[in-house]
Amino acid sequence: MANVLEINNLSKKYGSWLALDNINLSVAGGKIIGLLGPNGSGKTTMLKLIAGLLTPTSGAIFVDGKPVGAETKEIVSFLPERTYLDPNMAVAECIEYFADFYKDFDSVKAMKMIASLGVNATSRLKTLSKGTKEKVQLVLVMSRRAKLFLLDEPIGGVDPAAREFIMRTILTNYQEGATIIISTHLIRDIEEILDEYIFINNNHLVSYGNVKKVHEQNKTVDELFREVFRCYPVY
Amino acid sequence: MLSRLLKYEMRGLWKSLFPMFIVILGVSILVGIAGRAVYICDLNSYNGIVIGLLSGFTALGILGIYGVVVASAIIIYYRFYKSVATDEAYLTFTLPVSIKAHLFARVISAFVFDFLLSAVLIVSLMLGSLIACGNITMVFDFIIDFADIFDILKGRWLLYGSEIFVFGLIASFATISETYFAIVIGSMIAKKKKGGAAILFILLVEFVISLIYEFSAIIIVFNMFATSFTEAKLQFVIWFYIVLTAGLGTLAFFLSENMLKKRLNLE
Repeated sequence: MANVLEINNLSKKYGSWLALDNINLSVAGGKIIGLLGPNGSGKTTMLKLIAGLLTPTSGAIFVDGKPVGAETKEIVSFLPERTYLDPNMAVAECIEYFADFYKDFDSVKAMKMIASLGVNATSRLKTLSKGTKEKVQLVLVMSRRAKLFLLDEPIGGVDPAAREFIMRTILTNYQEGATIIISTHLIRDIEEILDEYIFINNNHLVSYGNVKKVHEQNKTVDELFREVFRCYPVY
Repeated sequence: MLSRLLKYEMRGLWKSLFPMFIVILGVSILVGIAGRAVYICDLNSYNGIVIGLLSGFTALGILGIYGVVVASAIIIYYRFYKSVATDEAYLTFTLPVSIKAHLFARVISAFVFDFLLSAVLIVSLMLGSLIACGNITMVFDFIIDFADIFDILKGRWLLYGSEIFVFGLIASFATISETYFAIVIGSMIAKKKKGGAAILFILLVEFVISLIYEFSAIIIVFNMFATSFTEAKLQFVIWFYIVLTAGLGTLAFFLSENMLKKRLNLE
């Protein structure tokens, strides 16, 4: 399958701090990929660069062969680690908003998922709990038939029941041919759904590999992660 | 996509500003009634305290209207600030829409509501005056007195009226565009306290623009009006300021677009 994402010599600096250093990556379509690394390793920066929310210091990113811009945003569905919807909007208004702007948005599917959450579509977002708002946002993002999904820490800081809902939502909405990149440090929770993994640390891409191959070595990705990122206390 | 952006922006602004328009109209009516009451009390030599209280209420009402107008402007600019500098920017900049369309939609909708606000103010002023005067003849007398000013212009009031109207529209566009530019720079430069930085840059941009106007005014006064005053010179000055204002507004628009396109960094 053709590459859905191509990253060439990508670097990103925040002032004098180097957040990503010379990243090169080619991602094929139709995969679920874990973007794994310790806190502050550059995972969010990488996803934001692909989503077009940050400007690279150097290098280039191509999504489906096109440089990041309005055109690629039509095929990229991004879930940030924060709630970005206007709290005064009702859930149904958010669905209408997404349907208006994204041609690939499935309103019926979104309404069904919202109903399964037990959320009243007429409720304003500000009346919902933080967890429910995050779930509504996930439903909106996953109701698109995008080519590339970028999910930034979707299971971070949520209870096990919510985690299950999130994982189910991701899996049941996953379509053949689409690629999902999930950033997290909770590897054990997502390992079973991953096809590939990307290890990122200290602003560098450490490793990009196939999960099946790791399992063939009688290892889990979680164990491999611990090996690669082992920290020793200093006394 | 532009039409969809406009639809949501207009809807959002309408929700926020419609109550403000109602408040302006309501307070104008109350001020008109109070003004009328002062007139009647004064005519019938009522207690001075009553007249004083009513006059105070009238003054407060006028201040209140001014406050609502300022609040309306703040709402317009705060909406823009939220869309580019807070968490909502994540939604703004992941939509499949060009930066130019984003900016254009927000400038256009702010411009429309600025115009509506002016219209509501004029209607309120007329309504308040009508109630305070007690009959429409007095209001028309006032308008006719005001129109006399244009007699000085030797029947060319339509020309000058149109020019002032055009200047007003362009000044509104330029103010919006320049304020958005200041918000964009402020929110991009500051790592924290982006709101404070945006306000600081609004003041700074306003200061720089006022310097440009003052500097150009000095040049004009010294060069053009040192000799005799002619209508051609007046026309030149009017159109100079129309073009200058439009130019500054357009420059601010394109600078904002350029910054958001090439330096967008939602950290």
